[in-house]
Amino acid sequence: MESTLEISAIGGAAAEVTPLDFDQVVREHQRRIYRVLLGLVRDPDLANNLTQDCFVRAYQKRDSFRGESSVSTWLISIAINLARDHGRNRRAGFWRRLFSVPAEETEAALETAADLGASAERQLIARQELDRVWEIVDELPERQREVFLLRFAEEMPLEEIARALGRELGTVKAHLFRAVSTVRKRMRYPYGPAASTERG
Amino acid sequence: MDQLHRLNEDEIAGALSGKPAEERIADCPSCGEEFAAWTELGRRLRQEVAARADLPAHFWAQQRARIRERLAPRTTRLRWATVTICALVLLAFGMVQRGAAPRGEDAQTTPAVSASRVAQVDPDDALLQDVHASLQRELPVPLAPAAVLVEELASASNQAQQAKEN
Repeated sequence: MESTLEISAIGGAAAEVTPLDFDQVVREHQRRIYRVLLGLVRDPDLANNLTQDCFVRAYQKRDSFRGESSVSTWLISIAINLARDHGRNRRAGFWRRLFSVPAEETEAALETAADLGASAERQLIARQELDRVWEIVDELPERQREVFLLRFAEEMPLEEIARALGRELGTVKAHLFRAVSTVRKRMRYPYGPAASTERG
Repeated sequence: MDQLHRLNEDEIAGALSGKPAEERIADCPSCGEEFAAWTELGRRLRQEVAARADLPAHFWAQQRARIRERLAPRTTRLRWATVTICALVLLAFGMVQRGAAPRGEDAQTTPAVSASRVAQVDPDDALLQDVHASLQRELPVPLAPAAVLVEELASASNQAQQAKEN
């Protein structure tokens, strides 16, 4: 839900927006932008820095916001571009960073990710499967990875993804199709990812 | 043939947005199984990212503070930088003057002079007093260290003067 402040602050007299006004926009969107960036870069510190960069860039380029998309979509498009710039140099360190998170964080994520009622074995299998999916997703071509994560992790409608990426809807669909196809093939399970846990 | 028993990628993409391919699922048990698998995968991915992004309030407050800091008007920062530079230049000028002026006079009296004796010379005292008075009139925050330094020099000068008189 877009607040009236956002519309007046960003869409109206953009040049007159003060950092104080913009603070409200930051407050409303910082969590989502951080979450999107965390999904894309998988590094909490980097995601935090990029979130700050995203809002600074948004403020500096606020004149370019025409209200054709929501503020949220506009901010996500900036975030994606920032992640892209960093990703080109840092993808090699992806798994090292992913596995370098403290044990308690990993445990907490596992607890949340896996079904709380499931057995330890099932949790372990679920964890391994999830790690495998992340590994495959990380190796996807950049655009496919972005579309896949925005669709999966953010549940964004395809139209919104298209606006955020500045691409045609058909192109986004094609990227998602290829991404899903790749994940499916590389998981090597006949009936999709979770079915593997049933089939051992 | 296999396609009849599996969801296609479009159907999976649809499943991710919560639009199950209902007819396919109804007619094809393996499709239903795959639909459930992908739905579950999406749920777990979202949960994992959300869990990692579920941070305490102070994290978000600190993030906002940093953004505000970076958005602070450039003119304000430039203004303070200018004031600081001016203060340093003034201080350096005063110190150069203090070091240069007494040489001639001192050369006529004693060759070895201490720092406190240099401060006894009237022109230096006057300059220090001027700088001190100038800083006291309008003292921006960045000039506080300079003011302290000037005060110390003036104090040393007065003590030396008193010692000489005694």
